[in-house]
Amino acid sequence: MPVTLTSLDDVKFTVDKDVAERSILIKNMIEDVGESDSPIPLPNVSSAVLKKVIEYCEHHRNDPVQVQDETDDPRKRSNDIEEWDMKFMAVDQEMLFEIILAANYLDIKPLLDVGCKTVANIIKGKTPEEIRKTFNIVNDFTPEEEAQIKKENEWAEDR
Amino acid sequence: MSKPVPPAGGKQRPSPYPRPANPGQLSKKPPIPVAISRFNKPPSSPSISTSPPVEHVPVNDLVQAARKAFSDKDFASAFHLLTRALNVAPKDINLLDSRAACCEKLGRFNDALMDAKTMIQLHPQSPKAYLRAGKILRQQQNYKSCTRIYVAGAERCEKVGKEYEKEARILDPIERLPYELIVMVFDTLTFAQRCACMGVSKKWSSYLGSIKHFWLAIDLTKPTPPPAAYQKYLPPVAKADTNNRITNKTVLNLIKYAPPKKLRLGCAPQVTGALFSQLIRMRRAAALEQLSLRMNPKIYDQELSLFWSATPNLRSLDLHDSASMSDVAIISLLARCPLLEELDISECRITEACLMVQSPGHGALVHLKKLVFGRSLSAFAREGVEALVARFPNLETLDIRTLHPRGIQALESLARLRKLKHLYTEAIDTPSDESTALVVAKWVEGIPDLESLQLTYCKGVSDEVMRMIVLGHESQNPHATRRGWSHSLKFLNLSYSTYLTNEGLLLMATNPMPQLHTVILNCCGWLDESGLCQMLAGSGAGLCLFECARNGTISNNLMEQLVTSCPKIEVVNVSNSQVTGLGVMALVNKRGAELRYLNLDGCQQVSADAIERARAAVGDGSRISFLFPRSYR
Repeated sequence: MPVTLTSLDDVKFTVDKDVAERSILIKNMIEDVGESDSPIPLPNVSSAVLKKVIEYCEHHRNDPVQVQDETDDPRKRSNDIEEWDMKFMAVDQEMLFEIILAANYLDIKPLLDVGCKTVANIIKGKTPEEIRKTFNIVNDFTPEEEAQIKKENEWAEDR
Repeated sequence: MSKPVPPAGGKQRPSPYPRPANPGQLSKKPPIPVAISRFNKPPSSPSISTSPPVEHVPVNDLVQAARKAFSDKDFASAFHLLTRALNVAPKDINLLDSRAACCEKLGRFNDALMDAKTMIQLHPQSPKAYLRAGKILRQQQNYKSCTRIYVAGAERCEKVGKEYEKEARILDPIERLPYELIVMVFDTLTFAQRCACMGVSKKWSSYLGSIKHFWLAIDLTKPTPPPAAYQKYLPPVAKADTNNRITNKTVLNLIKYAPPKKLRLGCAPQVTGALFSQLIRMRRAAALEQLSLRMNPKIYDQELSLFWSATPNLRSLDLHDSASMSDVAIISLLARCPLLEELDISECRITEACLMVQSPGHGALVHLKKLVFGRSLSAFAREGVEALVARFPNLETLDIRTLHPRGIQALESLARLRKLKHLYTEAIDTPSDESTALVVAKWVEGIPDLESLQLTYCKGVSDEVMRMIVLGHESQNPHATRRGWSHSLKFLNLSYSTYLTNEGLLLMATNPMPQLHTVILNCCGWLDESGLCQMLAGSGAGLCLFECARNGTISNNLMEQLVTSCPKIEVVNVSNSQVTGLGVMALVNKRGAELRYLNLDGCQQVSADAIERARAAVGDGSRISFLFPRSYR
């Protein structure tokens, strides 16, 4: 049974129920409201982002539900992004953050994980200067402060 | 939003704009209005673009009127008035900015962008121009150019305003993501990478500093990949990953956010013992559970002895090769830190005396599971080992490769460590092979489930010792459920056992060891291929790592045996053997990329061509070593 989703800019998307239920938010909504034909409004997600999110959910529709493993050291799972997900996440930064925020709002844990890992991978191995360039961050340290920080972080070079 | 219409000169002030009294100057048509009129044709716009720009109304009045129109949300007429004003003063940045704002409101982004670009051209030092361009580009969702504009603006302008900074940070993850998502992002970074992020901006620095749990585990060591399956039972190797740039100051700077639970400095020779007094003074010691500071000659007993009294929660301590530390520090450590679970004090200036102190408060450390102990220069007597067993009765891992006991009999009392799982020794003197067999028999009797055994460079290791390992002592109750360690042993390293022969291996063949994971039999001169093949046939089903270096009898038969009997093999070392390319390819084709490491050093029968093909077959993730001593070339 298909479900209709309405984005922020009033674009309607019709998807299968099991695809939509990748989102815990939608799943709970459907459970609360019961079977109905009325579209589900998603006032926080624009159509461009929602399209991407649906693309992700369609690809992962048959994945088993993720069991949270608390014992797992988060640092050890850093690099393992699936190839398809990696390609899926090869979007501009604006879109990347929009997807992360949408995944957070819609409560799609695996997508959120992949998004955060992608951002972390962008940060990884970069100097502060490169990070500033990448994210367009204004350097508000004075030259003295910057020299001080650089000295403090000397140990971390080449790590 | 900035005020779209600039406060361009009140009535009282003299006008900053040129009066329209000079027609010569005005005859030059300003390029922008023309360009704009091409895109858009408001009702009265033809009159602007076509008629010569002779303006009879003072600019100030036009601006006033435009301002009023803008605040009344009549953007079309505001646009008109501004265009007229711009005909008079085409270079005025405020007028251009206002007109761009009007276009933006009208949804004519291209026109707005053109004005913004003119602003940048005419006033490359003004942040206003970049701000306007950036805002328009963002509304057009052209984020790439938007970022470029903001960065260029920040570079060219001396001072940018607050609003500019706020707008320019639109892509900054810290500004955009909610707290818990930021924590998620930074969680996947290593400690060093997080420290690099501290230098990005003040916002990042304060934000990261406020996330407490990042600062509980201070790890300045180089990150290592998680160990592969075959490395599971190998004793850890002390790595000399020296970092001379870590100083006391580095550490003190990192602990200011929270009292750390973990402090891993690795090999940091610049750190001195004074750090420990500082940690106490800053009240940063009590929470400490894990401390590692290897190969540091500048740590002395006094500072450490004081320090231990401030760290009652210490669970794991690694002070490998602290050449200035002696028994005094260890005696107070064992008295003050009863929760210790892991302890590495190998290669320190310690003697057996540190374990033998008898006084109240020096009871057994029942939590200690892992001990790395020993010093290559001093010999350890039987009493020392007995004291060790009494102090640490629940040990699971005992690594005494650097300990030199006075003969293997000194180690007899290890048999009382009933929970022992992993035992690593090296180079133990033995008066005769019978005595070694007797000691091993005692161990087999006392320790029920040993998983790892390393007895290398030990001349006493003979077939009799092997019999004890596999079958246990004859005097043992024949009805006992268990005999020897054949049911539990996973790791067996008997390298340099010069008296071990095929007979010993046959015991392993006839009494299969189902758990066996690793077998290392390097430089065992009396072993030959037939014995090794039988051993693999009997106990090779679970084997991941097999090493038998410097054995000239090994040929392709052994490789074929590996292929048929060892479906899980990942690491093979058959250096200096008679193996040929055929045998190599048989193994490589069977395991493919699953074969992680193959050592063929000094195998003269293997051609370089075969190595090439084998490397292609296993892929980049695996390594095939093929080296020769210089004399061969």
